[in-house]
Amino acid sequence: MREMNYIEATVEGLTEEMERDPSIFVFGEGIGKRGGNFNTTVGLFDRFGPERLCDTPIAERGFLGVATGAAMTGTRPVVDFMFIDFALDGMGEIINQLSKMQYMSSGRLKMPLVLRGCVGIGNSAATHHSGSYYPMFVHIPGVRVVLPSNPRDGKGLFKTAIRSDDPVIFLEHRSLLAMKGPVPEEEYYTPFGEAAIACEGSDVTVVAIANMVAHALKAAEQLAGEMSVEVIDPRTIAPLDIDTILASVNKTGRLLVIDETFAPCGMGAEIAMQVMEKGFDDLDAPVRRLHGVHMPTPYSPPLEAAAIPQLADVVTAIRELSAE
Amino acid sequence: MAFEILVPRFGWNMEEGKFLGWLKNDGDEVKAGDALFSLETDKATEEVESFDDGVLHILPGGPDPGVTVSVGLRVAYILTPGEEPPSAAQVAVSSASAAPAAAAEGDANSNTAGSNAPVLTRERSTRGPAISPRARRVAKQLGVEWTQLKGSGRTGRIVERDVRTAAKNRGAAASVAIAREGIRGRLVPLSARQQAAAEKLTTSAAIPTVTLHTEADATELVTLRNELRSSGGAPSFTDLFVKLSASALREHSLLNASWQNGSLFIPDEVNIGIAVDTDAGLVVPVVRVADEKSLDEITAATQDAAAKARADRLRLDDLQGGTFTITNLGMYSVDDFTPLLNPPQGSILGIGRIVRKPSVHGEQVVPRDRISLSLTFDHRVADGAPAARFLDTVVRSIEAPRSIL
Repeated sequence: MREMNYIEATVEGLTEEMERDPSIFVFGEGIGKRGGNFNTTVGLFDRFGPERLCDTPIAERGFLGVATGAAMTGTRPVVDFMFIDFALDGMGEIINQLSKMQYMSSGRLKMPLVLRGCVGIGNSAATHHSGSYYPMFVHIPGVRVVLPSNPRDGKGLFKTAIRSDDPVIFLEHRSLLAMKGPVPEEEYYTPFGEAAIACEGSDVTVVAIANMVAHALKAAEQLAGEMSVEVIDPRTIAPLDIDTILASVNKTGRLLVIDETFAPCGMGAEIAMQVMEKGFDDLDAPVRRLHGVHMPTPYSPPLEAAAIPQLADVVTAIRELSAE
Repeated sequence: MAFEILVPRFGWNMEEGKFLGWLKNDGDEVKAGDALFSLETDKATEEVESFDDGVLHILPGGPDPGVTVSVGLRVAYILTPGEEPPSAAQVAVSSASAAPAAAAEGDANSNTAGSNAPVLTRERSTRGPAISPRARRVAKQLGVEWTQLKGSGRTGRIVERDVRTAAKNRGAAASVAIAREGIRGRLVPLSARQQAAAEKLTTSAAIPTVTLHTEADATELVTLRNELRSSGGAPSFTDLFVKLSASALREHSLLNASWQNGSLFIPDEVNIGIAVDTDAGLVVPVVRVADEKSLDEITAATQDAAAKARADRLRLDDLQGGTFTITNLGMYSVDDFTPLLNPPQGSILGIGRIVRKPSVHGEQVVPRDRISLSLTFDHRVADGAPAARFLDTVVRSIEAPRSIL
C-alpha cells in the first residue's frame, strides 16, 4: 500500500469530498491562498477558488456563527481553527447553537459542520497552543468528537465527518501532522463509534487516546516477553465504542486508560465508570488511568515533557497494573 | 387537602417584596388562575394567582397592605369547602407555591451537613480478605472457597490467578500423606463436582451395555473438511460427526432413546452432547436440535460452547438435555476405546484417530484414511441389530459425507 503523511491523506480526503459535493466550503484563518497554517488546504484554493476556500478575520465567534447559519441553510462548512484552542472563543456557538439546533428543530434542520483543529502538547508551543479540551466537547450533547491516531484512519474519519449530518469536532494531534503510514488508494470511509484493536493481547487492556496509541503499541512491544497487551484505539470518543472495550476487559480483567489530557472528569474517568457499570465482574484489578498533569502547559522543554505521559510512564503503568 | 399560599420569588435576586393587598376576601371561593393578592417588587407589580381551586383562608395576623414580606412567607391556604385550616405539620406543599417558590424554600442554606450528619470513615471493615470482582466470579464458577486464600495482588487482594491456582491445586493442597498396605502415598479428596461425576460413572457402570467396534474409510471426510476449510468454513471433525450422527439418529430413534423406569423415553429432539476436556475436568456441553442445524450452525454452537467451557462459563442450561453423546479422542494416539454411557442417555459414540493405512480397494492395496468407531448402548433400550444398523448408517455417511450436508 502507498505511504502518505497525515496531512496529505486528509487533503486528499477533503479534495475528494469537495469535488463530489459543491455545498462543501472551508472557513478559517489563512486557509485560502496560504493553504492553511498546517497545510490542511494546500492546493485547494487554486482548484476550488476563493468562495469555497474562504479566509476569515481573527474573529472565531463571528465566523463560527456564520458557519452555523450556513449549515442551517443546507451547506456543509468545514471550519478550520488551526489550533482548537481558538475554538474556545466560539464556545457559545458550539454549546448553545450548533449542537442544539437539530434538537430544537425536531430534526428539521441538519447541522453538517466539521470543526477541525490541532490539539496536543509538544515543541514548546506553550499554553495557548497546546490545548485539547475534548473531554469538554464530549460533555456536550449533540456533537461528535473524533480523534484519529494515524493517516489511514485520519482520511477515512475525515470523509465520514464531512458526510455526517451532525456537527463533528475533528481533532488532529500535533504528533499526527507529519506521521507517515499506509493509506489505501481506493475510496473508503471509517465509521464513527467503532474502536480499532490496534494490537491483540490477553493479559492487560490499554485504551489509548490519539497520540497515546503510538506509545501503547511501543510499550506492548517492549513488554512482549513479560505479558500480552491489548491496545484499543477508540478513534471516536463521542460516540464511544464501549462494547469493544468491555469485550477486551472480559478477556484480560485489567484496564489502563492513557490520555494526554487532564484526569479530572476526563476520558479515564468516563471509561472506567462505564466499565465499572457494565463489566464490574470482569475486573481483576482497579482500573488505572494515566493522564497529563493538571496544569497549564509549560514552555520549558523538560517541564513540558514532565507534564505528559512518556513511553516509560506507560510501560511502568502497565507493569504496575499487571501486579495489582 | 390544604395548599399553602407563599410569597413567590419573581426574579433570581428577589428576596422580599411589598404586599399591596388582597384581591379576594377570606372565605371566597377561588379558581385556579384567579388573582389572590398584589405584590410589588423592585422591578414591577405582579398579581399572584392561585394554582388550585378551593376556598381562600387568609391567615390571621397576615400582612397588612404596604408591609414588606419575605419570599417564602406563608400568607394563606386554599382549602376544600368545609375543611379546617391545618396545623403547620400537615401542610402539603402547594403547586402554587412549589413552582415559583421552589427556589424560595428558604431552608436551602440550613440544609447543611450538621453535626448530626453521619460521618464517613475511611477505615475498611475487616470482613475478610479483599477479592477482585473477577476473582469472586471465577471462584463461584469453580466452587473455590476463597476466604482462606492468600492473595497475590499488590495489596494482598485475591485476584483471578490465585483462584485458578487454588482450583488446580485443590486436591494437592488438601491431600494428606498416608500409608496403605505398607505403601506410602497421598490421599486426595475430590471436589463436589468430581464426586458427582464419579457417582454418575458408577451408575453408568451398572447399566447393561454392549459396545460395537468398527472401522470406516474417512478419506472422503478428510477431503471434504479440507475443502470446507479452504472455502472459509471452520468445521472440526467433531462437528462433522455431530452432523452425521444427528442425521443417523433421526433415522434410528432407538439410539436416541433412554430407559425410564421400565419404559422407553423417545425424545422428539436430537440433542448431542460433546465431551470436552477442561482445566476443571470433563464437561459435556449440548448442541440442541442438532438434526435441524446446518454444519455452520453446529460449528458456531460448538465453538461457542468450547469457549464457554474454557472460560468456565457454561451454565446448567448448556449442559442439560442431551440425548446422545460423542466423545472424540482422535487428537491423541487412540485408535479404539469403550466409552461409558452418559446417563440417562442410552448411547454414546467414541471416535478414535484417523490413520493413513494400507487398505484393499478392489484387488489393489492403496493408502486410505481409516478411523475407528465404538458405539456403546444400553441393551435394555436397543438390541444389537438396531444398534449395528445405526452404526452402518454412520459408517456410510463417513464414507460418502456430502450426502449429509
